[in-house]
Amino acid sequence: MKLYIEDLTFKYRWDDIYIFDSFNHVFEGSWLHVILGPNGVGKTTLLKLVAGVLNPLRGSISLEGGLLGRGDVSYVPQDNELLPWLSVYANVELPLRIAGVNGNERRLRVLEALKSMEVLGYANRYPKHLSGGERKRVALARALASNSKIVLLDEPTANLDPGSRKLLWGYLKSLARSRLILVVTHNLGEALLEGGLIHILTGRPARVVEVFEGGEEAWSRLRRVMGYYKLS
Amino acid sequence: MEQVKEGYGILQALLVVTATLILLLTLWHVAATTFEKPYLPTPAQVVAELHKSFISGVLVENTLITLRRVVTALLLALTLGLLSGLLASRTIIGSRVLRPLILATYPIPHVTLIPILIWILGVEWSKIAVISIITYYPIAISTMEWATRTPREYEDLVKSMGGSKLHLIIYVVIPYIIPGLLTGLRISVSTAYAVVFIAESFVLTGGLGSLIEDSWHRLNYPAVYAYVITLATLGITSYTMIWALEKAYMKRLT
Repeated sequence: MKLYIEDLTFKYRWDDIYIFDSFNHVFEGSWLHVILGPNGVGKTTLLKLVAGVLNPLRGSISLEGGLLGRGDVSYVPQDNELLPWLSVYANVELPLRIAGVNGNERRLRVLEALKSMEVLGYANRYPKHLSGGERKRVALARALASNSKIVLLDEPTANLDPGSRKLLWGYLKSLARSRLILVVTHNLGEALLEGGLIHILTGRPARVVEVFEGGEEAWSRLRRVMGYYKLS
Repeated sequence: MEQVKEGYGILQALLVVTATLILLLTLWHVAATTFEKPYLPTPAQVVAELHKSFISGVLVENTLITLRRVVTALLLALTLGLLSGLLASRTIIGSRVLRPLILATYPIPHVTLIPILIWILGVEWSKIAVISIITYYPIAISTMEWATRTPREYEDLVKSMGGSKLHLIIYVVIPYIIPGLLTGLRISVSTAYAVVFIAESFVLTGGLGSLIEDSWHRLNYPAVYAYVITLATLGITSYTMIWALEKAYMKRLT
């Protein structure tokens, strides 16, 4: 699976600085992709563009074989990842309702997704009764239920305790076996250790300057990159 | 997370209300027996009047008439207020045309429309219409204000799922504005009972307002008090019910 970003150009209406100007990049394979970069470089903006929440001025975002369709992408924002007035069950069910999936199939898919993210016991609870880690898992269950090929997560481990972080990365890795997961973070340690493929995004307009595999050896690579591009 | 409770618990509140009522009734009784004015009957006389009216069926019949008018009017106001409030805040034409229109016509003293409304709508529906018009505004305005500041993140979420404008309204805007809508309704309800009195005492075709007006002309002092108290009780009860609904909804969310 490949996610193509071609000629992407974007700026906010209230700003005259281009965040992306003819930005090209490919995210390839079912892998845990991590986008690292300084604050304000446009990491969240990139996710929102892929999620279809923001519209680019120019350019295209496509999957191998065609444009992104409804349900192809599942987006997990940093905060407020669930609608507070819907129960856990209804939150996971929402994309299926919007896509017009019929009742029986909807129920099966929601229950299965809740089970695999181990949040089935919370089905009738409201988001405010869940911990931060549990809310993220429900959001992942929502992505699973809607069979999204791409899952976008914005700073998923911010505000989580170390135990929940470890757990969440575990879930993300297992999800990444069959999907393209795109995680945005500025937490270096976690990104390097847990990330499958690290993409360094920097500059204005933003560019991907380096792509390398995560793991223990990534540290020395990053140290070099950071000095070179003056990242903090 | 344990939340700090504001104010009283239900039992304490009941206790305070009961104590205040007893105190007021005592004061009233003392005043009535001291001054011995015809326009200040004792609480016992008023209760006797209420009882008499209840036994004869007059009280129940007219309370139901008033309630039916108020409820019909509020349902109309709620429907129209919600629809126009959403249009005025979520569409470009609405925000340019409807919004200024709603805000500009709000300060009109709408009660003065009663005589004209009677010509147009007839006696019965003019009463319902004037209550509807007056209670429409708090509902429409709070819908309008709340619907313009729905959190961006929630809308983004539904958009990322490929949701349409209608999906946004159903899954984000309406659930988000419910507290505002209930606040608007709560304000509307207390006004509704005031307006129903004016409407019912303009042309007497039943209802508690008619009874008050009629008893007043016949110098039946205890009866006036009895029906005023009935109308007040209806007002307080409806207000409290909506307030409880608001609390319950907020408790689930926050």
